[in-house]
Amino acid sequence: MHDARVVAARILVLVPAGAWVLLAPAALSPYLLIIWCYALIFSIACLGLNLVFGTTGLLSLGHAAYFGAGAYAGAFLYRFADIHSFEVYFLVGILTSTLLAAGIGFLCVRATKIHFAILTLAFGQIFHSLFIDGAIFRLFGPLGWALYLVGEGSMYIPRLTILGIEFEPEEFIPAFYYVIVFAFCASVFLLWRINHSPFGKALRAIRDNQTRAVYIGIPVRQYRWYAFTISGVFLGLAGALYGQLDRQITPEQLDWLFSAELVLATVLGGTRDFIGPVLGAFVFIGLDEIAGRWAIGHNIMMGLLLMLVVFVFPRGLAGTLDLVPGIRKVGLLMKRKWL
Amino acid sequence: MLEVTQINTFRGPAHILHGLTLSVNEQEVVCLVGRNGAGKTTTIDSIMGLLPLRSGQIVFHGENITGLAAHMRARRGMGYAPEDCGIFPELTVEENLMISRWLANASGRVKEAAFTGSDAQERAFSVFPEVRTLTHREGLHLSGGQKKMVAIARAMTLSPSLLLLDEAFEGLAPAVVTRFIDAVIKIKEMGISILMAESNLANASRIADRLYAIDRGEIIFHGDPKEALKNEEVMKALRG
Repeated sequence: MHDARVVAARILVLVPAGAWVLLAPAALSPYLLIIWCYALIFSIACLGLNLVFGTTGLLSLGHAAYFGAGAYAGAFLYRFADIHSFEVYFLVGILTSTLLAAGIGFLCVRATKIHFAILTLAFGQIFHSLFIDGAIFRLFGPLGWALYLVGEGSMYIPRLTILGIEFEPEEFIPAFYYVIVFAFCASVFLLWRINHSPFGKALRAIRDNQTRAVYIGIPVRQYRWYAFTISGVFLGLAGALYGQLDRQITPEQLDWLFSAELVLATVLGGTRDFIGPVLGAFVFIGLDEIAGRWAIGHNIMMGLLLMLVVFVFPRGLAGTLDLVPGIRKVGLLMKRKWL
Repeated sequence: MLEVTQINTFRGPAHILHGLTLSVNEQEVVCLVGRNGAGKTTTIDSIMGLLPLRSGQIVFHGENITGLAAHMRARRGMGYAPEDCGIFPELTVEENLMISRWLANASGRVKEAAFTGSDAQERAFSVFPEVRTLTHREGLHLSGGQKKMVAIARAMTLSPSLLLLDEAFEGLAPAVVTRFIDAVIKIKEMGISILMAESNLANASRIADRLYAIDRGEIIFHGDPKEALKNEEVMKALRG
């Protein structure tokens, strides 16, 4: 049985959060709802990355590849198999990114530290160049090559049917918003379970000291590979959602700069706290939105805002918030074992 | 149970172990005694698979494990509590134990031993009841003695048949050393063999069934601990 404080803390956090999640389509303008959706998707990607980065201690600079693969796979499926079901698009996207992460991860986990980062970057850029140069499109014959020439590597994704329902354009985003929320909640739940399972603890043990992990019986390389592959699942999931929300996918989402943005947002939020990447993702998208108001100096403004956040929150957003007594207490009560 | 035959181990360019041979029998406490730098930790690390052998052979329960990875040796029943204890500082004691308990269940060793990983943990708690009160504390916030207890408890949770203890008594007050000696005897009574690296001959002789003295990577004495105390060559080597 939980004590009353635990129940109160959960009510205090979950009820307003749940109410906001349900009412957001009505409360937000269509534009802000889309930004809110991007933030949720970006959060899933950052949480997935953090399983490798914060939990296992491996800096990946190539996770954009799995994000992009999640959307591209479905886009090719739509174009060449004429499938309009979001569920099929979604599953194919996740499956592709998982297989890609498993293959690349198998090779990358042989290295550690900076060598691991370089390997992930190299594989990510190879994958990116396959789309930029059109090599992937050539595999689909003259039509594929024509698609490449028209879109320069970008692909259009139509509004797909969700659970067999074809939504009108104005209904689509509010309906798709709930799909994103469901995916976000499922991702948070699954990654929370993984992080707090013995497997998750073993990953943290590997991060803290690989030699110690080995002599208590942890197969270090194998577990790193599992973490990398699982991470790919969530990046693919986020990528597939992104492709459908944006209705297109471009090689930009495969580039290492996007990987760097994922890392940046994750560090901004705090890699050692489970919820850190979510906070980081939301703040990153928010700052990008603010900086976007300056058409010319967008990147300069974004850089200045990021610097400001880093100086004000040196321990990451989650780490700094944890220093506020009231928030810390609620956080600790929230972390108490569920059920 | 454990047969180490003519092993040669290097640390970088330095040749540390020179054809070292030792054995540990079922339910036996064997001490490897030597002064600092004699090669005790290198011997334990070689047996655990943390250092590659240049030559020689290690047989455990009749199986040649010379080329086996360290984590596979752990899963075959070698528990290791190193000199620095090896506690994960950011994990709580419970989480440190949880990993071993889970790995023990996954490895299938506990099936052979007819108890679960939780039973193995309970056995560890029966040796060190103090650990039960520390379960919510992070490894970072443990004292030296507590770390040593948790390290041994964690190794026991893997349900080992052989425990490798490296300098388990180092840095402990004399009264606490007695407490640890009692614990080692209790572990032995549970049917677990122990190979201990120890620099204090007096402590080693209180606990060992057999004793090896090591100097400059070579075994210079093997036999009864009481005989070692009378052996001038051993005493001279240990005093340095």
